[in-house]
Amino acid sequence: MIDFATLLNTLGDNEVEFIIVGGLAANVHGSARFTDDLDVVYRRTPENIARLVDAMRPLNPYLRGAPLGLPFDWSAATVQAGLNFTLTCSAGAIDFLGEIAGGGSYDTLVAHTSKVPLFGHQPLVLDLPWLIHVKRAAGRRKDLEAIAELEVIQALDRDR
Amino acid sequence: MLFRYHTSVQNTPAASSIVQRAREAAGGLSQRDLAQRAGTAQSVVARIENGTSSPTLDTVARLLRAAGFGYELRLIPLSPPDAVVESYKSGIDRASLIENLRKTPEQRVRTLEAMHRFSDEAKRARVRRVAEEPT
Repeated sequence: MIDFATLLNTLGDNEVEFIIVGGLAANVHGSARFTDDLDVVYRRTPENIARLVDAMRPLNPYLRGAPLGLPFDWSAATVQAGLNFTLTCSAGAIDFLGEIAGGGSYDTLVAHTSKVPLFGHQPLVLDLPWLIHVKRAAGRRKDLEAIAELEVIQALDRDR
Repeated sequence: MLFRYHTSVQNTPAASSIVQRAREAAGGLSQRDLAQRAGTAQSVVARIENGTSSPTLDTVARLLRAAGFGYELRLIPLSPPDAVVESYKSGIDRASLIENLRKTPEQRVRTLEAMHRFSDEAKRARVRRVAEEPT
């Protein structure tokens, strides 16, 4: 089970700079497909990494799929040393991405986002053309059906 | 490779959001402040930000400049239609998408959460049934 409201409110309440991408961004744009995690691109400034780490600590983030008991230190130093983190936490599965294929970093993507009212906050969501673009750039077979749906949504949007 | 060059930013979400973001990044300029700096009316900025006007690239550039920013245009390679993607489109339930588009984004996310709860409950029921089956 994933609790999107808790995850988004946790990040929003702590003023973490992030962009919703992936399946939840598709859902926000109208996709009817199921997604079981939250993918966000976070800004890699030291200040934002500190906010991100502090915000997530109460939710006990841990490496998704890793055996329990492995030493994992959720700290600013860990996030600085890495880039993309595939995690699970008490509110569900969440991926913190420093960069995504075809889209780059937060600073590149931010011009292609919109603020969307969700659960009392206004997180940035990657816009539909760029969501399609980065999914194409990822080149994953499993994304082809999702791309088809997003392109249909884009056409329906234009006709509205 | 196919390249399409977008010569206009008309009606794109980026046109409205980039002007709004420039105001915020400039220390929270009001629409009126920005309009004054750019020598235009507040209503012009408002219409761009709420998506009801179709600004030219020059207009957006002037507003960004007034907020203290430049901009960058990049060519984005667009893939030609993919045969697999096109074939998937015929099987997509447009009625459910149209219904979804009538909802607010938050309602869409709540629907997704409800699907998660249903899926979890179905998994738990399956585990209970297996546990109760006589060996």
